[in-house]
Amino acid sequence: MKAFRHQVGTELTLFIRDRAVVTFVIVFPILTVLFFGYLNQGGQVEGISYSSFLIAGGIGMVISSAAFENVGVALAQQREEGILKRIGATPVMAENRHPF
Amino acid sequence: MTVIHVQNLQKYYGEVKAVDGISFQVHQGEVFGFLGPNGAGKTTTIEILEGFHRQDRGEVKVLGLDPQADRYELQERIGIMLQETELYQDLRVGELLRLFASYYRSAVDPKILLEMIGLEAKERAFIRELSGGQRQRVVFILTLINDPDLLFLDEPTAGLDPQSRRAIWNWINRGRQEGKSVFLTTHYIEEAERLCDRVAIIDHGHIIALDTPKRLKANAHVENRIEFTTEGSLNTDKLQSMPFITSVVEHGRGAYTLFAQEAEPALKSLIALSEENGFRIRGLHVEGASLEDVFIQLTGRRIRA
Repeated sequence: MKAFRHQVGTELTLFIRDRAVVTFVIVFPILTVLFFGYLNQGGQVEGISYSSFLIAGGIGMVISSAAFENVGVALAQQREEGILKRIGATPVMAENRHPF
Repeated sequence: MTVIHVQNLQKYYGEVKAVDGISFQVHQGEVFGFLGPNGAGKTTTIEILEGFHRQDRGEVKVLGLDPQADRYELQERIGIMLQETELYQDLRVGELLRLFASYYRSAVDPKILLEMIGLEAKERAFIRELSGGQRQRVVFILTLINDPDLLFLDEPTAGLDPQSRRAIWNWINRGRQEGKSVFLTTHYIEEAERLCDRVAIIDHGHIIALDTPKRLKANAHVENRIEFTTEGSLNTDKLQSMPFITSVVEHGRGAYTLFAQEAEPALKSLIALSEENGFRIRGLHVEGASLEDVFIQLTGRRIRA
């Protein structure tokens, strides 16, 4: 549990410090929503307001790019650099068999 | 007490016999070195001991445990330094050490480790800001964070600056005094000679010699080398006829190298000869057998070839 907490905290720290990732996961979707929202003010999509449609889509975009794309890229990168192997040299996996 | 027990260890990668039937034991408090060229089987062996790979044949016990079956229990008690390790570039040194400390049941205070290795001022520095030597020292203290009984170091000082190398050597000597055991691989002859209580010379997956550095050198019957320069040229026949001299090489410009079975009597007769013939000896340099000579004699080639 101790290791799990530390690892989550570390991954969040690494996320915030990586400007490219922060730009694509947070800044870029906000700009997209603002841009398309501005162009389509007062519009409607299948009976709901365009702004609701857009914000829901924006949130979906953030979640999917953070959860799928970034996790995949980060894992591949850590594997390539040998960070995963170094972690594999510690007994942290013993805890992961029952993380809670 | 035996901390590592290896009996007839074999590991094949397809047709290639990476490790071909090696046996040895490491005792508690001992610094044991694997010396050999690249591709000799050093890393394969150490990674089997660490539990990364399963051997094809043979018996392996580390701290009385099976590296495969009791992997996590073993990892609590050993420290592992891989041959190449990248670290999280965007973490601070202190953050990284605390993260790794959390992986173990009990851990040493990171501050103590940083002080020990001379990096206490770098606790808040990002990993990416460190020099190569500083980074390698951080990689080294990561192996100490669980206060291990046994350390595995795979080429710990490869490509390091002298200061970082000395910091790591100093710790290894200190750790030995505290009763810790160290298994290290190296292709630096000097490292093996200075650090190791016993050295196994490994080539093509076989241990071809295993002893203390001193006895390896004594048993190899390697010749001593006496180098000197003088003004003008000497009669090489006279040098050759001195006792214990096996061969004489003239390099020109008054530079000579004598190969002698025994250094002391050869030196005495060289000095006597210089007095008799009135030439002065300059730049005298006497070199005893080195592990490198032993290595060349045993394998027929240089280690970095």
